[in-house]
Amino acid sequence: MTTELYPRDHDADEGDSPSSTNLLRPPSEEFVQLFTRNQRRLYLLILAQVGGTQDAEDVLQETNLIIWAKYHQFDLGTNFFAWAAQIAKYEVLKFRHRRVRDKLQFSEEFVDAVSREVLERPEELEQRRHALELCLQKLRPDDRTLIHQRYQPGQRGKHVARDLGRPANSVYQSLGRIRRTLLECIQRRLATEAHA
Amino acid sequence: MKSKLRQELLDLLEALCEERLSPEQHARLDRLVVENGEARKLYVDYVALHGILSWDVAAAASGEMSVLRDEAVPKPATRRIVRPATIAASLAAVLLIGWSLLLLRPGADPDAPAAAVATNSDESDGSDTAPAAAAPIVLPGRDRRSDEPSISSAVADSPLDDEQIDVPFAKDFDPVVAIHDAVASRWESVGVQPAPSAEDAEWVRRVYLDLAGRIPSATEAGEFLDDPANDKRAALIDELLDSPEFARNFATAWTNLLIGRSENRRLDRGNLHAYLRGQFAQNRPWSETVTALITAEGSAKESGPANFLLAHLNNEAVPATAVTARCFLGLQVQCTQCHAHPFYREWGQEQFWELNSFFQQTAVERKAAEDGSGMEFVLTNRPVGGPTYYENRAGEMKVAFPKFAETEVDPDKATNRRRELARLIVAGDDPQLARAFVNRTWAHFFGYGFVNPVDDMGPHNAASHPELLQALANHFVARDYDVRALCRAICNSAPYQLASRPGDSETNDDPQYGDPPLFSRMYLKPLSAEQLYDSIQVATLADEFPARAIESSAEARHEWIGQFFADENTEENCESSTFGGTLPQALTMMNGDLVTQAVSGAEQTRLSAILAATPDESERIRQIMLATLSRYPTRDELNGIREFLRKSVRQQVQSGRVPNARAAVEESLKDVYWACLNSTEFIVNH
Repeated sequence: MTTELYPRDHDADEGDSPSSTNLLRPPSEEFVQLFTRNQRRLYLLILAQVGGTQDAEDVLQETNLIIWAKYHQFDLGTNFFAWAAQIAKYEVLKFRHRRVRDKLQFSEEFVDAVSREVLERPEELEQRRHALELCLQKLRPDDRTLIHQRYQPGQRGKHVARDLGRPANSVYQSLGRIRRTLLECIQRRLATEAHA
Repeated sequence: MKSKLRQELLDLLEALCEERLSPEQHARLDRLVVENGEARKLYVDYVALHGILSWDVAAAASGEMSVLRDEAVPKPATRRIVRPATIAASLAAVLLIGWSLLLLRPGADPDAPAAAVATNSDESDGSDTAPAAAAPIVLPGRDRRSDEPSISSAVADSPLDDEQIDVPFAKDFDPVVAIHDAVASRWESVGVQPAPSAEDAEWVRRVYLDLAGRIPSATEAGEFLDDPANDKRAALIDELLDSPEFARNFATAWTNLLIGRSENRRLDRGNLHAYLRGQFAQNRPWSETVTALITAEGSAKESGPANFLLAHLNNEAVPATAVTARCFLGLQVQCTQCHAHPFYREWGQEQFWELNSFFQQTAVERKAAEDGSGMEFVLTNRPVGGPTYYENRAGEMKVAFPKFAETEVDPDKATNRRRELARLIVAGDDPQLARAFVNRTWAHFFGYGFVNPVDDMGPHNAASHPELLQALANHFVARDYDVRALCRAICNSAPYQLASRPGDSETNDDPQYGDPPLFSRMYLKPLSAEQLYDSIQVATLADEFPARAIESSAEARHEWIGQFFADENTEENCESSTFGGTLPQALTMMNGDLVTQAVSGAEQTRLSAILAATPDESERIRQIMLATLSRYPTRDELNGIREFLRKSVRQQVQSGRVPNARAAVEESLKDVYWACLNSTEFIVNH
């Protein structure tokens, strides 16, 4: 295992601005690419552990700050995502400490089990995303529009309902149905590919 | 994962995505995901969907295309199946690329060159086969369709009122004509071009799988293909409906629905199966069968139908209530155990417990088995009366008396409540029982019902062809619940004769994406575990007519299927499955004993018979294809396989792994056989 574990004393230099620690060696082109390319995966890993998109974005931002502060500790050629996932793990932990009074917190076992499950299936995401693209095209135009509206930045089902003048429950119901359709469509495509 | 758990989980996940989870629901979700691996998987998949949507749409909206679009999007990697020391897998790709394309892209252009490989039957070497017997589908020129409102857009968004559909019903009603008129007028109003008629080869495999539960043997398929008669399809339908295999196939399907597939020591599964089989074999009315299942008494061994309720009386008969509603009435009422149905106001908690109250007298007693083989479980009626007690959401204790479809039953202890329930369920001219059975049976043949999921027929879930569903249900009741007549009508109907490859049409007919099905082509159905097992048997055995051999392997089949299904041991009697396009199924197909035996070339196998029958290479390939895929190879396929054989034989001889060229040929043909059995075409009913 060549992956460098995230050092436990990271809090000490967390506040450092990138300029003070990273003047030694600017991040390489390759590092920048790895960073960019792994953003979505990291986001999904965090989302599975915290459950809410807004929270996941916050934790991702914090994780990114640490990644940039620590880039010189990463050995090119080792597994970037595994390294970044370690950082994310501690950031999720910190986030959970901050929210300890929140009733809508998942348990520790939940977070552990879910992150293991995500990490066990590393290569699936791109297939899933590709399948989703095709499945979105297969939706009825109305359904596609609704999904598009729902997932505009900062939007929620209730906002969409207000904008459309539809009862919130009916919009929730539609969104749930469309997501199920998409989920089943993706599963079917993945299953078909596994067999083809 | 069975539907109830999955449903609950999906509801929780939907609420999570819209940030509407209560603390209790949040805790429930947490517990399910921690304790249940299937639930965890679904959670991760669902959240990934939600996350990708959030990420990609948001990024696209804010113009941050670079983060997203710079990423190389690799084409989904098709997992290569590699059999050690052979290149048979690549052969499978040569053979059946058309089918995989079809599965990947249901709207695929039929003229695409790759897809043409498997379809162009004009080039088939079996050019002596009779032309398709079914007449081309003609759209009827009837006036009424022009003013018929299009209801193709009626979906769950706008729950329809449960208005009665007025269906004129005549004594000379012909269901085959009615089916044709209803689906064809919809094709026209939606503007979809139906698929062409299925080739005989595609159709014969389909009708065997649907009615007999297995593929035809090479002999059976060959005889049908060579038969020049015009009415051979109708004749084969009648023959199969009258065969013991039809009764066995339907009994298996219903046994699985009623008590699941996983092992339960309290039950005598074979006894339930035997009872159902007898009912289907004698074509007893469906209402009679349901009555027997609901009212049965006795031990698992004494009474076949008693096994149904013996399986579901745990947990205050909550499973019995839910399964009765789901299997017989096509209604999903599980959630109303605790709260009102989210979209279906007629069903509240009260209705759930009123139905539940019918099972209040029913108990499972344990007694020593007469043959000394330990304990046995007996379904009995205790003479008790009064209401069922339950707790509502406010934590108040409530009572429910037995009541079904607005009819109350005397709650006295002298009333046999289950008998009353059965009477109410089958009563009247338009019982939900008939609509549910027609819908489920239609889905058995087409892969989709008029209402989908087939067991969720509440008013929130509109039917694709409501008048036709109603008319067929009325006819079913008028014919005294004649199961075989219903199946016969469906198999002879126009949409059942269509090819699975879509017609040349702008409008797609893709119910898998949530559209109401138009039945403008035959939808693909994956083989069930039982169909797959029996079909491999048929492809393995040299028997010309394999019904008896299949019969004798029932126990081995049950054991084989057991590896895919597990009881989840939940209070809702759920079971989970690793069957259906998963890795375990694929591995079993590739490496399992069953397939190993099929391609062994051992005595009494179909392959050894083919090898013994002829030394001619083309003829051997034709017979192998007929035995496994019920059709002859196309010219391209034949050429591809022959080229593969030449290479393979040369390699084997050069490597010295085989004693002589003859052995090398036989080894290579085993690879061809293996590739056919492992093709997508084999594991799909089309």
